[in-house]
Amino acid sequence: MDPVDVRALSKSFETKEGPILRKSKKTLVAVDDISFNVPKGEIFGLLGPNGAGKTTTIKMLCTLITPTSGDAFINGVSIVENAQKVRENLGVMLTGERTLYWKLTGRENLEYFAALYHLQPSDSRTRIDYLLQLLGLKDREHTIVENYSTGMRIRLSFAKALLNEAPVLLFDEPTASLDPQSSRLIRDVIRSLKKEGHAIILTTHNMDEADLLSDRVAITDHGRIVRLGSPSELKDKMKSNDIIEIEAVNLSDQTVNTLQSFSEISKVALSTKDSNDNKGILRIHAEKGKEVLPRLLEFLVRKQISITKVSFIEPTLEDVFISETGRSLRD
Amino acid sequence: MISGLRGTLGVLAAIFWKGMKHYLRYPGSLLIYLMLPFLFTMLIFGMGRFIGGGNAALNFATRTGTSNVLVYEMLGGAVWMTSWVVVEDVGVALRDEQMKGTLEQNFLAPVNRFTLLIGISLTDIAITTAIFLVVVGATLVFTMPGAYLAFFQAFLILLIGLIPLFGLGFFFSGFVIKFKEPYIFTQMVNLIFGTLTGTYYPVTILPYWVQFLSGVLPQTYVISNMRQIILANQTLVSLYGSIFILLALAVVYPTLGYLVFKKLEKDASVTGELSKY
Amino acid sequence: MLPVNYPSINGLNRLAVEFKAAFMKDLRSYLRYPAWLIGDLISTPLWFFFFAVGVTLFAPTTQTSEYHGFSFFFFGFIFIVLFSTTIWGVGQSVRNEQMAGTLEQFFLAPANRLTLIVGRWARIFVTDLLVVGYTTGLLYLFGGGPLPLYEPIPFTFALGLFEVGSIGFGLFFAGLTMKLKSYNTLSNLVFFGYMILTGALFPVTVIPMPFRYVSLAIPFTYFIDLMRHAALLTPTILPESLEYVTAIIVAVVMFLVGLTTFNWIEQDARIRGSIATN
Repeated sequence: MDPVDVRALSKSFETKEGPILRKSKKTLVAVDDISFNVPKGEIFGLLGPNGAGKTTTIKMLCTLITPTSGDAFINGVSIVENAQKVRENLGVMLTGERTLYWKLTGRENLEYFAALYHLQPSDSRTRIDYLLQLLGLKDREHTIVENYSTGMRIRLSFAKALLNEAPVLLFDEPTASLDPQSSRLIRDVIRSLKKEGHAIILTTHNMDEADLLSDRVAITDHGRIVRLGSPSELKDKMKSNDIIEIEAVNLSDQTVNTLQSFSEISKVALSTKDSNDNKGILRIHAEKGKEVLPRLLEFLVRKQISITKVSFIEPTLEDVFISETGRSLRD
Repeated sequence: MISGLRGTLGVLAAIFWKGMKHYLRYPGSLLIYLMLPFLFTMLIFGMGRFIGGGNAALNFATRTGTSNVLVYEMLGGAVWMTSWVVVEDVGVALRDEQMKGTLEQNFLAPVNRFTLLIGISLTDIAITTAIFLVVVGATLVFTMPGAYLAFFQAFLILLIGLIPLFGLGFFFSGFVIKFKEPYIFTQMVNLIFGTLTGTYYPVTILPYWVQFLSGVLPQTYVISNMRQIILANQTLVSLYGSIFILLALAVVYPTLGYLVFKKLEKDASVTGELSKY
Repeated sequence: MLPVNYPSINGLNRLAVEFKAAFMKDLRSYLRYPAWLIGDLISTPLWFFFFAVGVTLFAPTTQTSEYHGFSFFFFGFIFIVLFSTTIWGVGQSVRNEQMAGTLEQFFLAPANRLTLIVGRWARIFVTDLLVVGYTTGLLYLFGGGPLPLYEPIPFTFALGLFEVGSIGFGLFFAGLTMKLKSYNTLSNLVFFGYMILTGALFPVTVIPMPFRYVSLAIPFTYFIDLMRHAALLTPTILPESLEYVTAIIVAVVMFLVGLTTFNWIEQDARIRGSIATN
């Protein structure tokens, strides 16, 4: 069995919505029958827009949320049957900077969590020294977290996930809110963890990061995995189409609908670049892009849409998402 | 954009309704404010009955000049709750916003800080009026029916007393923005106010140097005057000396409180404390 | 299966390490905020003074019975401080962690929940004892005389029963606040209910008859009664041995019910996905 083995995992939430005294029950399906596995030494990316079910999946795997149905096995231990044992096999970084004790120093936070993960005091001292050094926090180890910058808090949260050198690591948006330098540091550490043989799942809505880091990516939308494969495999499948990117002003959903009716165009997605200027980016998947381009441009000019840039681009994971859902990842 | 007086009134209304919505959506805190005077009175009365036995009420009357224990204690309790509301709402409201991260959003808006504080105070006028009406009103209905005039005069005393109290609230508002930790602070301040202002006893039994401190707090005069009016048949006119002091405090405290608030707010914006959780 | 790399601590050592970690975390946070310590040092004696002066108005004008009455009252004040540890130290601690965003970390770790909560409770208990001791010292200095404690060992035993039952109640309350989210109103009502109905500040015999039945149904009434009996040799509500047996059974039941309720609510939070919800 692989270190991570997810079998038909689902999660629905019941909510009550509506005016007072007339609330009706609604079922929200956050994760819908997903299955995947992660072998030793692999980085598995969960990529999708906000609300796709990535965080809910992570939280089920780390036992913070009980699945509605299905099961998953972390290092051979069921998340449903033996949650306590699962936690011993996991290192988890959740999103956000409010996951630490702000009145404790960086070192004190790690010492506390090391005790909760049952590290021997001598081992935890060595491990904490190493992690603080690795993540550039050694000179601020005795500063209380309240006085850390956002980047420092996120790095400390990341260090906390690595304390117990768990065989399976879960990272929920590990580089969110980080500057490029810190993001690069985190990614380098994740790559070295992969080489050490950890099975790693990371969630992100940053397709470039997913592309860069992941050995395999599961593209998720509305709780389901819509595509799964290595980044290159997924992008190769797109090579039958040309991808045209058009930056313009005054684009609208109506424009998208009209373009969709062009027979040569298989998919169109619009993402907003600058809502103040009504600037947007159209990503158009077309079989013979060079042939359809003149008609496209003519149509846009007739609609008095100001075009600022046109380019043919290599398919990205975003295009894979668009081809499955008809929407941009940035929506 | 609405400007001038209409603009300011619009802002005040917005802040007022924001505060009222909080109380209406989370009525628990209002419920506590209404219940606490009754609960404290029950406690003190229970302890008093144990300590004094059958002569408890007589002993009380000897020391306070009235045997109407319930009204005596409830008046003190109601005013104490009033000052509690002001310290919590005006004093701590901005710190609460700071902790939630919305303070900066409020301060980014082109709104005069004084207007912001007054808006919060308006909600408190409504809430403290409700507390007074329920707590004191209910008590008088059952123990002294017909004391309408006395009740009305006591209410006027409360309204006058609220003005310097808001001034104190402004002071605390700046203090907690700079020094953080509002909850322990409000607990201490409320307790000190309760102790010094004669909530459940006449201030005259406190040591002289403590009475001096009591004399600078508006609640001392509010409680004492209310007791005089309702229990000793005094009127606003006969208490003119005490009311004059209260009016003087109504000028001094808001002025000082706002100046201190501005100074501390400025210090906080220089050191970056405003945006700190 | 991949190896779990670190040799971990096992058995009872585990609980001891977790307890110590939770205790030290809380102590460090507490001492980092001098305002909390100063607040406790000022407000604790001030609460006593605030009530004591109010009660003085009812006291006989002669001195004879006042002192014993005040010992009674001061012990009641201690019982209130102890209960506040339950409500705010245990009962709200979980909800406070939820609001601070650290509750998920608490539940992520393979550590025993009870040990962590008890570790936190222990810190508050220790600081409360220090503050009570300091207040007792102040009272002595201001002419109150030494506080009597006629039977220290039975007092300590009764205190132990109080704390076992308290922790159970605290766990029950902690679960409840996780579910209800808004806990201030409930905490205040429970706290005042305790102060008025359990004989903490005045004997239950002062409470009028229909309400007295409620007092006699509250377990804390008996814990307090036993502690006061040991300290001041006041008469017990029930025959002494029967009251001890009752208190022991009730303390154990409260603890087990509290723990079970907390576990159930935790499981429910996992199903609803509401552990992180603020």
